[in-house]
Amino acid sequence: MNETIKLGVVLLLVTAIAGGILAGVNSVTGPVIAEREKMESLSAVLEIFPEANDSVEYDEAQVAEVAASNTSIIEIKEVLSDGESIGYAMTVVTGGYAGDIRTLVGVDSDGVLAGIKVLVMSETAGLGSRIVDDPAFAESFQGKGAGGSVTPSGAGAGDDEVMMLSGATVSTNAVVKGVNEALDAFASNLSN
Amino acid sequence: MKISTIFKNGIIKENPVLVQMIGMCSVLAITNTVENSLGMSAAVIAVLLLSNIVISTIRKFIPSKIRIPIFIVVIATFVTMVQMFMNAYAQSLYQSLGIFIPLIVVNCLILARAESFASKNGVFLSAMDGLAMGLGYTVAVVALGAVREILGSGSFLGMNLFGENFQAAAVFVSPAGAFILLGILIGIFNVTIKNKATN
Repeated sequence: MNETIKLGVVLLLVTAIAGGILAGVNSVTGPVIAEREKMESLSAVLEIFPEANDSVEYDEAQVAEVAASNTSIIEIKEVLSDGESIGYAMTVVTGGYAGDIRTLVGVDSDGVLAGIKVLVMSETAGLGSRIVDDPAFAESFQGKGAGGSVTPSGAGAGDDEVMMLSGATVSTNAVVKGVNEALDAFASNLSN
Repeated sequence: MKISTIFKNGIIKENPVLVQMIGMCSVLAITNTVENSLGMSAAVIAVLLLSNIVISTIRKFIPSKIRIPIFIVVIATFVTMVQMFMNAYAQSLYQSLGIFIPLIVVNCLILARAESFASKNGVFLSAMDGLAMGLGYTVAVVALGAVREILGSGSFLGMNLFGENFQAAAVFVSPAGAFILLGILIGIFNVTIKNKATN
């Protein structure tokens, strides 16, 4: 009996010391890691809003409220430049031809698309994968959407028209669907 | 025990990878490039050295019935520290080594040294043993990593060696190629260096 208690106490002591040391190390490395993770999550946003230097992440309840009728939206970040709001970066997930497509949609404060970036997709190589591989596709979204939505059509030259990738209709439509949900959420809940 | 014997054991006679063949999982997984091999070796040396020092220091206070859980706690503490520092200051290495950093905890090389050496010897000798075994591990994984990177990617430490027309043998980047090369490496090591050293 006595021995059992002694063993328990020794083990408790060793683990407590180990825990204390790790807490100390964590207090040194934790802030460094958090800072780097913040820069990483901002780096995709920076491609769309080059002047951004901070962002405010919406929590789950806020996202649910803003995107009540746009359920593809899973994350919303308000993008700040020197403390001023310059737009919103919304992550949308829509069903593509092969699995989900995750797209970051940047809407500036006038409700115009600042840009989009497909973050994750597993579309057919050479066809649907052009939503990432063909830079002209993402570029065709820039500056569009003033009318509240975009439609895929040809090379996407007209007002609020974006590039239609031939042979990749499903993939194109999936991205467009997410983008339009982001535009709609902005128009109904985020624009002042 | 002489220090030269400890180093000869660690690097040649009882080389953890090429002779004892322990901790193979991470060896096969992370030796696809020289950079990963060096990073993993640094992590293993740090953990081996520190855990050997601490375990030999507290060896007289540890009741033998619970020595293994205590060894594991000590090892896990150092591995977690290495992991935190790597995540904070060597991000790209942290990402390419991935799951194999926390798995150092269950690498039998470390526990084997704690059990068979550090729990029976003084602090200085244990530190030397940790260093020697770590160097033995380094020699093996860096050699394997160099051959795999040169044959599998046509580069060394990320520098392209053969120009664009070189057709790399992708099998050497995969674990299958690692098995083949490891076998050849162990064979060469046994007939040359190890046999000479033991005779």
